Amino acid sequence: MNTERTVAFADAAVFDFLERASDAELDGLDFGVIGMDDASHVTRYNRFESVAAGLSPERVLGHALFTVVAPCMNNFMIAQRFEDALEGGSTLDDTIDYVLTLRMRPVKVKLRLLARTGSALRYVLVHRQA
Amino acid sequence: MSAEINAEDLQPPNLEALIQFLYQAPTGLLQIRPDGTVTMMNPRSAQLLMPLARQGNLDNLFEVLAEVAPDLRAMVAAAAEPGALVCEGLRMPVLTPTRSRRVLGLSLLRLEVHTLMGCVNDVTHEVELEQQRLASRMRDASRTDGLTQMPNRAAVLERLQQALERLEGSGPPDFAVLFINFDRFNRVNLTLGQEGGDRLLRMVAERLNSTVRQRDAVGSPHEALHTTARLGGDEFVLLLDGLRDSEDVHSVAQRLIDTLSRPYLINGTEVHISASIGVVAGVHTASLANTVLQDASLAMQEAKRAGGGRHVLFTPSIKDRATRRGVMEHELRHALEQKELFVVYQPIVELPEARVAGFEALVRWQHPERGVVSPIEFIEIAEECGLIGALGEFVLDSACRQLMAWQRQFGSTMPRMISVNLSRAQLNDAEIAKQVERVLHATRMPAASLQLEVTESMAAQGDDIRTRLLELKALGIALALDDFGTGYSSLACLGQLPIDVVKIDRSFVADAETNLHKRVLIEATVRVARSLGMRTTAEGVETDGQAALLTTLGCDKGQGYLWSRPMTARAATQWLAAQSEASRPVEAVPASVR
Repeated sequence: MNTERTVAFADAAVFDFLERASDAELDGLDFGVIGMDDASHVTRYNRFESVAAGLSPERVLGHALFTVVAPCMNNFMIAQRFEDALEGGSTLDDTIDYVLTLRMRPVKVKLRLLARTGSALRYVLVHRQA
Repeated sequence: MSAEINAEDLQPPNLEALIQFLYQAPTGLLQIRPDGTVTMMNPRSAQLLMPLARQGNLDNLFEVLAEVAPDLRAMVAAAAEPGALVCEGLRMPVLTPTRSRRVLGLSLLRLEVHTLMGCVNDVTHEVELEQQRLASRMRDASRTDGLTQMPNRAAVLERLQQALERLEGSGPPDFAVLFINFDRFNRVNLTLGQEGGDRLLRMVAERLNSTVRQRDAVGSPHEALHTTARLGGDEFVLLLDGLRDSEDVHSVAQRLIDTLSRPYLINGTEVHISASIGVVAGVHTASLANTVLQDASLAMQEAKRAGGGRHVLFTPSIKDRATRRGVMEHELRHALEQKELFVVYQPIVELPEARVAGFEALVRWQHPERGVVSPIEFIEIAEECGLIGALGEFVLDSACRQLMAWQRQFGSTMPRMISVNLSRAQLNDAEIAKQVERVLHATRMPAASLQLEVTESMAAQGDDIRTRLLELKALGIALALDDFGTGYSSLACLGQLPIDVVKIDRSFVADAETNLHKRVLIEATVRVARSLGMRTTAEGVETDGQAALLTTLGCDKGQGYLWSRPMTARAATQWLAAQSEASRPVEAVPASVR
């Protein structure tokens, strides 16, 4: 019996799901999930993202997302948005078109940027298009 | 073997390390296929190119750059050989999402047949610096004379305007403007060539600068800012700022003339050239920089008219004269077009029997309002404004045609020749011999029937004028020395000039009967001329007594009111008809043509 809950990339209630989801539940999703703390260190990294990016969780977890793991996100379109939300104590929920270049491969993606006050973690969701 | 080598150092970096290296590189790196498909791209590339990508699609570089580098696809196709450079630092403007303008630089290299390597950078700062440098160079270039590196017209006008604004009506200016121009500089270019002329101009600039550096303005309340500038050609300007008094400017001008007229050594040849200077200083200084320069230029032209090698201070009367000359120049152009100019003819007769030998052709201007204008008034203006060529050709052509018409009517010796005056400017024209030859050909007049008159001051001017005279003589025409005795050349110099006839000036003839000194001079001129194989013609003969005396003194021909005033072609034809009919020596002018 499959008791695992699931959620879609564009689901409005995705933040609530992520806050309560187990690692197994994250690994069952069909899009990438990267969770990070206030210092931007990656604390959650699901299977889908690990496979798609070609990076093992060991190489990612505990490392700074924007400077070590994915410098291709370290810009005004992504990193700056999280920083602004943190400083302003505001909620961030935005979906943008983006090209990831993890391991030098340009991959067109949709990124959903999520942050809200009172939450310990902030998330980058990665939806790889066909 | 020397030092120990750490084995790890020799290992090539592993793939992961290489990827990290490229991944973290602070420069945009990418790899594409010849169809533009991106096969590798580091984060820096993506970040730089993303503002150009529609819907975030960076799959194909040609599509991403379609608007900013539309020719890229063709450039890639053209650089087909491995190793070929497609582009280097190709500039592409980009508008970022934050609306700031950036410029990207793209370099592309074909590595192999199917692979191209690219490099993208943000060169905005570089471009800005370049533009700043260019703008500052342009500013300097637009204010500097390329040949001498002196300030140019724009720069000196600006400086002058500043000096004028500083005054703001508080008394006469404490500065002076000196407009410097060289006398007959075009001769330098003709003899030394353009390159030699340019060298001379650079030497002039050095002398000007060194003269001014000797500080002519001390004790000025503000820092003296002398400016030397080249306006163009052989025109220079010196702005003397902070003068003590107007005495200064005269001494500076004179010192400049002395300094600039010292010989210049160019290609081993000493070049002598004199300068004329127009000065604007004191109360007659205009309030606009442009006007001040114009006034200084007018004063310079006055200095040239006075013979050059001197300076003239601008006064309002100089401007009035210039205005009148301007009006006359305009009218003269009109006169040439409207055929208000015509030629009159004065007979030249053989002495003693007074048989007609020929005519001197003289130009007149029938002004619609002022009546007949004397050539003394307009020849100089025609010379200055470049109309003298057309005017001279008109007179020569008319005279030659008239002589041929008379000879057809009255026979080949009625009269034998026509004499036409050459102006200074015509003689300075290297093409004058060709022009004369052209007219002779067009009018079918034998060269031997033409006599050209030049004044002694013109004939004694340098080697190139002498060359012109010899060229004219080579055509077979005769040369006459006009107004002899009024210039500076002495009898001793006569032999050095390539002339055939000496025309004794009217001032000698007028009182020859009463003034022994004049009579002796005429006699000596005739004797020297004859000994040199030249003939003599006396001008301004008015009485029978003068004619008789000139005959006694051995003069060959005469010309004057005794026989006839200058006549229109029609009157001269009637006069000739009367001569022909009488077929005897002329006694007096028919009353009808006086």
